[in-house]
Amino acid sequence: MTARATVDITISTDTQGRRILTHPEADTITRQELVRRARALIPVLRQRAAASEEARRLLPETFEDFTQAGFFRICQPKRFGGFEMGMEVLQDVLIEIGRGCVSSAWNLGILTGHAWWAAQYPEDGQQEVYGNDGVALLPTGIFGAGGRASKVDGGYELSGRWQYQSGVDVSNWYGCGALLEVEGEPPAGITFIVPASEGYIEDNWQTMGMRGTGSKTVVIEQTFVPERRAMLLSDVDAQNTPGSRVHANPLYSTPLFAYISIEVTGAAVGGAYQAVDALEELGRTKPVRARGGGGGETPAMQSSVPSFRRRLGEAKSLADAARALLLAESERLMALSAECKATGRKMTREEIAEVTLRQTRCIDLCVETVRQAFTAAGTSATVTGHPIERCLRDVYTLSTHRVLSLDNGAEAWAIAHYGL
Amino acid sequence: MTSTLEVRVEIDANGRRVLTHPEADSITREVLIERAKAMVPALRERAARTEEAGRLLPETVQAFTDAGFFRIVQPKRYGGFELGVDVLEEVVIEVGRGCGSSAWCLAILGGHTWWSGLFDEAGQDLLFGDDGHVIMATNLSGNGRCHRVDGGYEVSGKFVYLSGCDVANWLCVGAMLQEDGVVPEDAPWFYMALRPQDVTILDDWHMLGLRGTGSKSVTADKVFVPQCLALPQFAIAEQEAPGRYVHANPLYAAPMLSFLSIETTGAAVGIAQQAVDILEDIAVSKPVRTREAGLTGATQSALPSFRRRLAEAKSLANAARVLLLDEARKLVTTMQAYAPQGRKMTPEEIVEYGLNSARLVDLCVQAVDHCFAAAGTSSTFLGRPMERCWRDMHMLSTHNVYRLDLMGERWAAAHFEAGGHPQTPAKGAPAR
Repeated sequence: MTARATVDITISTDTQGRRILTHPEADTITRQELVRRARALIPVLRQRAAASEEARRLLPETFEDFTQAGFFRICQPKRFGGFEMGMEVLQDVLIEIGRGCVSSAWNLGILTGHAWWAAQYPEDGQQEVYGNDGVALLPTGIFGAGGRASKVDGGYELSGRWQYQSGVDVSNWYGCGALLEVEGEPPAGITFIVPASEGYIEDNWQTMGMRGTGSKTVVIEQTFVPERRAMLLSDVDAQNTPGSRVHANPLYSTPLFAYISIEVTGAAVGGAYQAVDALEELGRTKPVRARGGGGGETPAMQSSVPSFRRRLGEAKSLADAARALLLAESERLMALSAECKATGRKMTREEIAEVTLRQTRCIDLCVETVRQAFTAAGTSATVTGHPIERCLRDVYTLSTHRVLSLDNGAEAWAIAHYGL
Repeated sequence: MTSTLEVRVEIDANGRRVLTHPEADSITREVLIERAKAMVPALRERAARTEEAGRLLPETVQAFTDAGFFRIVQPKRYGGFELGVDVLEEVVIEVGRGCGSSAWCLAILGGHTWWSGLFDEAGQDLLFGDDGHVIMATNLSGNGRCHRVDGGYEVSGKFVYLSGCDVANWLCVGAMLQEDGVVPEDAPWFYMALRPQDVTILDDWHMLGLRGTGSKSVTADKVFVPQCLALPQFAIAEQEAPGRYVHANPLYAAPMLSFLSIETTGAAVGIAQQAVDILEDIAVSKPVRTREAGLTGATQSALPSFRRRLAEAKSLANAARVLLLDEARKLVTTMQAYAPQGRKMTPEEIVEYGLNSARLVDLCVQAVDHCFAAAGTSSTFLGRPMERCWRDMHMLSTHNVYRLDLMGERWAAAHFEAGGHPQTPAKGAPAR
């Protein structure tokens, strides 16, 4: 399935002779409008959630809806057909989408965030990746070094196998991390962007939760990657990626590992709100059963039970706390990037790790939210396909992602803090 | 499925028919636990098929039958071992280490041979038959309706969540008495034992977890139940079940909720311990990955956060086990103290068993959550034992008897209705 951009991108040449792609809404779109569009999709996303799980991928119709709404372009450079907006806009949208379908929100977070990631590459690489329509959809496997690369004339030769490639069914590129083998030196981390046509998918995504993300395995058996689609992790760590010199906006100077650690967290917050919404509805619709005397239904609803009300209040406040923290952290990261760019300083390891730590805290609050909702909902909400059981599976599964794990976030922050 | 053991049938000095299991006098707690431990590998191997089948597998029923597990709390006179509920729980915990669904079914079905011992003598004669082989699935919430007919009652209704109904040879359901088609206020209700062939089992158990329990719904349409198989609810509520006068053992005088809330809890502890076992395996088998180097030589046991989660989960599961066995033994010793005096438990004493069961299930949920968090995404693939434990444990925790919210409220209500003061233990009752 390859529904592609259905909007007309204007291609022009600027005063410096550079080719410019312009999305028709680039100058008019607002955060409020994007959030409104996301909110409007919630009912249809809820209605498709079971089909999305069943299909184990982002549904074509949902992909089309996201494309139409311009969501994939939120963080993409304006020059390459994007909206060039901050992390807080993406997170605000993800929270609403996650309220409808956590898996769909996850794919949106990954793919939209990685349309930013593509802007870290050399300028000619970006021109190629964004193409003539500004569609750059790429799952990426940076961690764990799934690939092996060696230097060849004009570029690299790459082979590898990358697990957990969320959104792979709708992507036109793959982001691939690899170890670069150089004789006489320790291997260096490097990441590539490769056309989707040069790899194949192993359909192995059969999991407890997040089924609709289709986070399958990508395999590439020996392909040539030109220099322009390569980026060394040493440049990432030095906060001196090729792309950070291409774009004036400090958005593109944000350290990559800070950026991608927080790009998808809104999916979890959305899942937490979805569980709260479902529980709130149970409060109005699920009858209280009588104790003894046959245990039949009474006219009272769950909202009349104090312990139910407490769980609902607790769950709602946990979701609110997660949302507030995520949006504040997104804005703080953007402000920090602007400050660093203005003063010419680099972010410290601790500052980067703190962004990750705080978003892992958000994730933990979301896990607690769905647990509270599940506990209050009772056995009838464990029937396969009930939104509360799906949210529980989704948010717990999501929380195992190594970048979203509080264990890993806390350890990395403390190590950076003490300079260990 | 029938018992493959020869049960001896004799008439005792009082002219009563007595069934004796060949192991009745020699069986010990240790032997039963040994048998359960020995089953763990086979149960693990069958766990995926058990889920898929959505019921207790025939080979597992056979293994439980051969091991005598269904007879642990069954009256000796009717072919059982008549051991304490603490022994049942120790066996269920080991079985739960292998398969949560199988442990749940064993707990329910094994526990309900105690329940069968509450009927009057004629009822028990019928229930236990000539071989003492009773596998009884139950729904005790009283959703059905019944009316009097010659020699007994006719019962109709839909009953949900009958764990183990596919393998049961008896089903026990609750029904309220109708008169002239109307259920009067304060209508009496009964727990009625039916034969599976007289009801329809619906295929409606498609759930998050405990899939292998096959806790399906059952419908009954005007099924005849003889008087002796209708156990009046008021007798249970007043701790005056007929069975307490049939058997000398004070366990058969125990209040229903105190027994039932302990009965299945061992499955939770078993699942928690299974998760800890799995995490121990992961500790030494799953490599640590780093950002650039990929796989390293080290395994997860090298990670401080992993070690902490493992230790936390292990200590939580252990705390749950200790609390469960303490509650189970407390029930046995309390009844030994109370029954000879004709003393009844107070509502607060009864619901405290429910509260502590809910508490220890919560400890088990926490234990499994720690294991799940430490295990990582690779353990979320379908069929991995960790994801099954996680689903089973969260599923189990939604049972009304295990909801801390409900049990906390019910305990507090009973406590304050009783005056709100700490209780003075009765003479002979064990100190808390």
